[in-house]
Amino acid sequence: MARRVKAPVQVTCQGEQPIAFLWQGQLYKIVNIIESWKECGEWWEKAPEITVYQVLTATQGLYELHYQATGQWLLYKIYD
Amino acid sequence: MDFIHLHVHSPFSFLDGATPLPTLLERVAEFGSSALAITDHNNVSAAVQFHKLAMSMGIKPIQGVELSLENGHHLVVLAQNPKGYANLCKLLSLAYQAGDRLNPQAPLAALEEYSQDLILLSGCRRGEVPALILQGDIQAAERAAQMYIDMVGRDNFYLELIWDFLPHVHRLNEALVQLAAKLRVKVVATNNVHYADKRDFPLHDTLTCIRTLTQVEDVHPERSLNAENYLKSPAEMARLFAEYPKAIASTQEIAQRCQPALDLTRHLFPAFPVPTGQSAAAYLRELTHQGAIRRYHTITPPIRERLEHELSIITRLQVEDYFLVMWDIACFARQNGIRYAGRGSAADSAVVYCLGITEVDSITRGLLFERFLSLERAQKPDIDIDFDARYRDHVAQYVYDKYGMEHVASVCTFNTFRARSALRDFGKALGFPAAEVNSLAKRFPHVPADAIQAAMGKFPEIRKSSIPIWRYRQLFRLCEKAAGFPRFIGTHLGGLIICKEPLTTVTPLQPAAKGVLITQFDKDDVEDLGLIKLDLLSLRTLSAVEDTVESINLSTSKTGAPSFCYEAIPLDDTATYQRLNSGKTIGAFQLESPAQRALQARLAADNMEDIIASVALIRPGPIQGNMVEPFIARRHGQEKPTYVHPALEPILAKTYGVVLYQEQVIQIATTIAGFTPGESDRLRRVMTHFRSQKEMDAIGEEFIAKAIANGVEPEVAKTIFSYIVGYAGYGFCEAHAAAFGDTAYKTSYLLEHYPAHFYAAILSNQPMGFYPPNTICLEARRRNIPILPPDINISTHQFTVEELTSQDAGKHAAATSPKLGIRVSLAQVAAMDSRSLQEILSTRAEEPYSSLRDFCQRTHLKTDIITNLILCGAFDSLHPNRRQLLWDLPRIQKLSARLLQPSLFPDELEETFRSDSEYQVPDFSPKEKFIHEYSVLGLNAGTHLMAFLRPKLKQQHIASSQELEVCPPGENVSAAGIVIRPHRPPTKSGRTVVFLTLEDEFGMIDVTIFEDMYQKYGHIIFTKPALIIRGRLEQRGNAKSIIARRVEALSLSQYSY
Repeated sequence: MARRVKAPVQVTCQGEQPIAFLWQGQLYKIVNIIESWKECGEWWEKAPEITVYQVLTATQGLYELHYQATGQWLLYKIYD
Repeated sequence: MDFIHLHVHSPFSFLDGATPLPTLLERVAEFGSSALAITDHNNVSAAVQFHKLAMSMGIKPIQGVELSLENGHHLVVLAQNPKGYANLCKLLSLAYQAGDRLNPQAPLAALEEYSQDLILLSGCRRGEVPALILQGDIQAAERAAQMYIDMVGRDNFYLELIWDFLPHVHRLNEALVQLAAKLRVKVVATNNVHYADKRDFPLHDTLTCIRTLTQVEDVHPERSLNAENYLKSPAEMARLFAEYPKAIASTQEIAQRCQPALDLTRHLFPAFPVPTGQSAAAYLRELTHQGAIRRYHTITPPIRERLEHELSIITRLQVEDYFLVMWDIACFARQNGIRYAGRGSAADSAVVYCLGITEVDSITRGLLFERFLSLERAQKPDIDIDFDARYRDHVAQYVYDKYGMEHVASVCTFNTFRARSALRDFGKALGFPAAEVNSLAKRFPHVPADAIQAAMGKFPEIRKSSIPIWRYRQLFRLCEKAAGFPRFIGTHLGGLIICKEPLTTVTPLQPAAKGVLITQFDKDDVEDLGLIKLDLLSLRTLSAVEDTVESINLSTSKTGAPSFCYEAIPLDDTATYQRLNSGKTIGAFQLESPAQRALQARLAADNMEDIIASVALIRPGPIQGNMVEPFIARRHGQEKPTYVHPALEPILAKTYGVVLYQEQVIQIATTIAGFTPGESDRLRRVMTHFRSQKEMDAIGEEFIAKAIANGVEPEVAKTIFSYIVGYAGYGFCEAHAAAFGDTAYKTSYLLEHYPAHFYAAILSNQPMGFYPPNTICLEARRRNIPILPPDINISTHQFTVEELTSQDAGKHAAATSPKLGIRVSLAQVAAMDSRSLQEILSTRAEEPYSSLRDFCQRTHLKTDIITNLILCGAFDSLHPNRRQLLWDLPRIQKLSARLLQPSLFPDELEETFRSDSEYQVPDFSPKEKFIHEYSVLGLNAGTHLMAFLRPKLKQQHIASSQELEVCPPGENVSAAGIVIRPHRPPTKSGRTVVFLTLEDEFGMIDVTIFEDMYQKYGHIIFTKPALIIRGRLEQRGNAKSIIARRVEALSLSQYSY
């Protein structure tokens, strides 16, 4: 099961790769990027390109982060 | 490190490639790459253009495809050399043979058989190996890879790594690398390119929606998730594949192993089977000589000299076989009674005339052979022959039979995006309602897709249409980017190619929608490949001529009069010229458009030269160049032709000093500047195409220098050149005009002397000509030839000419003597198909139908056909109440069906039949009948729509076309009618002039609408079916027209008709 969050988060990167994110005052350290891909989304609605990261945190949580071409990071989903 | 793109789609991937070839190559050149492969889906249609363009830019073209296999997977196949390319063509042909035209499926066995000199790449995610890896079946992936290795060898199979930023890309590429190591094959990096620039992803995505018949909001597996399939730079690719440098190195290795695979220097036309012991040249000479005796009776020295000159050029260009093939085809048509006529520049050739292919005596007319064929130009000859449209395929079949199915194919064409098609397709894909985009597209004239924005500002019918432009900005942008992209492959109307080698080694062959095999190259590209196209065209006019002759002879056979011979029509018939001079030429080949009718009414043509000039004059060029007015003035002696040099007079005398024909440009250059015929033709081509001012200036300098050297005064030389330049692009091929002129005159003769037969033939062979069938019917009625409604017991599969019965003649009192009428064909009835028509006619042949019930009992037609037959009056002669018949029809059908079954009480059934039919309903009103007839037949046999409106129009002082005929010119008038063919030909000033015809129950009146009025009323003119025009009546020659000052829509619903 997954829960859609769609909340802006602060992300720390190494190069282009996210290594940690701050959400609701808590820092989540990323230990593994399980999968990543790019999506164009609804370009006809002028939606920006996003890069999707499915990450495993040190707390063994599974999260989906979206990086928008506009420079914004979102915590998109939490996998239960 | 150089990286070479080896998996790239061009727009020839048909809605799966979003960047034109030149742009792709320019980008590759910017990268400094030394090679590029084009790998379209299941075709090499881009190959010739790609080869030529790449070679000219110093980029090595690698020919390839992304092939669909019988197992449903894709595979990238690259040709290493010409042998590999031939194998690729074979493979593609077999793929279409094994699958179908929309889903080719290359058999794996064929891949093995034709694998020589091919390199295989494992492909995108639809490739078998990557697909199996993604499914998690590594072992199956290994087996599949091993299968390809076994087919082509370890060195010729590469596992393809694509860094596409799709889910699982890391896992996929890693697995491919491991598999490569295990199987000892190499990996290669590609980017499965579908567009050059990332910003073109929306265009590609929308094209994908069009291809998959989806909308952007829909989900479809063929739509890409992201915009990563662009032409990445070598640096980007190197960065992406930093972990796999060997994958980058492989691209160079493959590029080095592949050579340009196309050989564009070959001659592939087959040898014509000549009699034993004779060469093709000798046989052609013999046939020409025989033909010359037949044509000229005595071969004079000038004739001999001309024929020898032509034969020597034909021989030196080694195209004798082509002439023999065309001669043979013409012989077949003649021997089989198939009407044909050669046309085009081939009519410049006396040899072609002697071979019986054309009917234009080029020697007597002084036509220049070099316009057709010249040593300097060394282009392939192009002989076009029109055939009776019904038998063109018989002729093509003869060619297939004679040269073998493996050696003959139809040439393809590419349907490309233009404004209307782009708006429809892209509009639907973007989610606009179909009705909305259709309505939007219809408002646009036929302009290229990249002229949409310009058209918005230019044409008032769009500008003033209340189109919410803001809604369509994205749509317009996408349409403009797709301008000229091929949408689908089709069949060229007439082009056939014959190849001495099996065609599938030169071009892949694939089935077209109508079943014939077509090449994957269009008419220009097949010539570059060394093939010569045979143009065997369909011309419905020739079908109409044939039907007319047959119909006349059917009539004359009854009276015992001598049979009619079309070929023997006298070329000096006074009545025919009088008809032409009247401007009433609707139906005449090439002389029926409003502009032609207006010209004829002023020209006072009295010989064939005038007709030929007419054909050449009413073309965009001469009209745009204002050549028509001086021509007419000089023709009537109102203006004296002047010649700046005496040598021009013999060349231009026949056109009164006006440079009208391309042949005249060639003659001027030859005579004045001493150009060789070939150089002169080069001048002609520069003039005709006028692509570059630089090119024009260069040839101008050459012309002037040579003319001066030839003794012409410098100023005169400059004047003559400026004179030619003034007509640049306007000249028309005289030979073509002469070939068409012959048919134009002869059909005018038929129109004058046998109108009933000719109109019937035109109606039977629709669509043809300039006007819809209803206009032809109106013209017939105007000539006192009644149009007789369809009759279930009389009408046939064609429009037929009938002698009117005394009853009919009484109804149509003005009918000519002998009183002839035209009976509407049953084939004209909506929904009628050939099988049903045949059933009606064959059943009727046994015994005429006695009633609707009899008809239903004896035939098995669909209800919609019977309904339409009733509505158009086909049963009127059996039962005049159409509504009654419609009322009775379901019961009649039901009872007819029951009567076919064995019944214990047949008499009671009969009784039910009778009693039910006694229920009476009133018939339709004349107005209702009129509407039914028009909607079922597309024409009205009796009344014209405008007749219903006439009383109201009279009250508003709106004149009929009949009244305008006797109205003095200069009067302010108002007229109303149905709008026929509004069009705006190009003008020299660039200002728009609209010409249209208003049709009413008496005839037609032409209308001219100048720029200011067009800007004011354009939105009405091009969108309303009927108009009221107010303006000044003008007379030029024998023709009248209205110069519009006000245009109103004629609202048909306002009138109670």
